[in-house]
Amino acid sequence: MNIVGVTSCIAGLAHTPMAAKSLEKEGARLGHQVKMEQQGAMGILNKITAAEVEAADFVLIAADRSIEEEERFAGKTIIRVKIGQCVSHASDVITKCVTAVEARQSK
Amino acid sequence: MLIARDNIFLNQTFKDKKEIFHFLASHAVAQGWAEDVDKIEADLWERENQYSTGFENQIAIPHAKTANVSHAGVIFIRLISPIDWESLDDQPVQIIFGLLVPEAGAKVLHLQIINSLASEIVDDEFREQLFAINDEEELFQYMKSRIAIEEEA
Repeated sequence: MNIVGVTSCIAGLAHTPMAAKSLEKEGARLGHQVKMEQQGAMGILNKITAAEVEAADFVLIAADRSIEEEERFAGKTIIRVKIGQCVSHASDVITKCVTAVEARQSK
Repeated sequence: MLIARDNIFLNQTFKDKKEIFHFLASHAVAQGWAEDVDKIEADLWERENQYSTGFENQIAIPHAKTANVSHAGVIFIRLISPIDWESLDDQPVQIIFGLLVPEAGAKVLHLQIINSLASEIVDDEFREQLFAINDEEELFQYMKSRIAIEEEA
């Protein structure tokens, strides 16, 4: 699947990049295309473009605060998860989300 | 420099999180990044109490972004014996990366280095080396080689 998303934690120092990298790494290992935007201490990194939003099967938001520019994702399937889980259990998070989205698409 | 030999401590013995936070805060003051040990300790606890900074793989990243710090710092501690950290996977922690960043006006370069470091920790080989290398100078050189951002001395 084609997945885009945003990570954002309280301080924007550790969980934001770690969750983003874990999700991208585990996503690729599972055969998905994953691009995670980081909203952290440096502002927005690896920003998702409108075309990437358009092409995505779903949007994964791993944040423990409100994110910037969420209106970009209007109309998309959005899944919200805890950011801590994405660092330690990125592959489980992706597998669960993909299964849920597949079930919805096949309806 | 943000990643520095002086801030790497191998073969340490600490009893618990409280002792570690006191050490991180004291070292930050000794290095001139902050002035008040108690305040830095309180800042670390404030973040820690929101949810644990312990990850799987026996690594914890306690951190604070606070007005009580004037200069960003990274402190690496490797313990002889792992301690309890109430981490996400309930595993004890053996490696601690303490991150301290000023509330405002942090150097972009420092933020980039911290971001790059956090990203590397997700890499299996990087983590293995953090546990394996037994010399502080060698570990310092390894970290520097992996954080591909140059900083002037």
